[in-house]
Amino acid sequence: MATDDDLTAEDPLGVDVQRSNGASVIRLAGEIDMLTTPALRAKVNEELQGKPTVLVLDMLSVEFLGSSGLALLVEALDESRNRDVALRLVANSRPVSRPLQATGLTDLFALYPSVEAALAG
Amino acid sequence: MQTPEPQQRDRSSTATDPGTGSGGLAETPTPVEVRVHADPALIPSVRAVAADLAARADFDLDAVSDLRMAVDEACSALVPLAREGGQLRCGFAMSDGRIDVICRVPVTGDAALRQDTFGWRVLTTLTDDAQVLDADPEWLGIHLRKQRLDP
Repeated sequence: MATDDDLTAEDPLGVDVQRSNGASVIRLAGEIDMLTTPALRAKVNEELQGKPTVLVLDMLSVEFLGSSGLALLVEALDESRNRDVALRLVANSRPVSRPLQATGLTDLFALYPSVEAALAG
Repeated sequence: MQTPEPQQRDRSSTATDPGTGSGGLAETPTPVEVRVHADPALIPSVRAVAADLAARADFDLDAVSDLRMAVDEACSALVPLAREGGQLRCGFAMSDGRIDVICRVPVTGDAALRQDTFGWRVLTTLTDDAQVLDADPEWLGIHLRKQRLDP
């Protein structure tokens, strides 16, 4: 049951969605792991179902990306192709770039250094 | 706080052969051990300890990141298999430019660790060696080894 404490407690993963001009931007802050991936998956699927032209995952403030998060990214990529949505990742720091690189996934994704660049394509 | 005698420190090198002691997998002596409830919410603390130890052992930043992820993956695979109310135990031994990690949880008879998952593939990619420890019927574990890349 929700209490005031829950509202003030810091979530391990902050998820903020903004939509404009057919593009969705999901800004993520914190840790993407076994604990936080299910809620994020629901959010990403919800945005994909809206069929935006572009879905940007802003991962600049992500501090940890575990294998469940990597699996989610791969699923989202498959689903975005099925729905003809351009999935773009914004990531330029080690907590995201190293897991992608170490698992050989970097080349699968369209990576951009900023949200502006991702929206511009 | 008592400083370990040098000969005690040396025992860390023998702790990399886990599960063969008289205490079984549950009691595997290592210089550092973290014990938490087998609860997904506590895995961030365990992986933070792994990253801290790797950083202090002069692992480069990519290797620190790799070990943090590998330990997260090992814990994430084990915690759902833990017996009700069980503990997740992760031991760390640093020696010869490498870190050995032994994570384990108490299990009931039929628990098995799947090695055909994306997570296990990630885990083996990120480490120099990864083994399932299933010789002890009461405990199920994963032994990881990460080597430091010296220039």
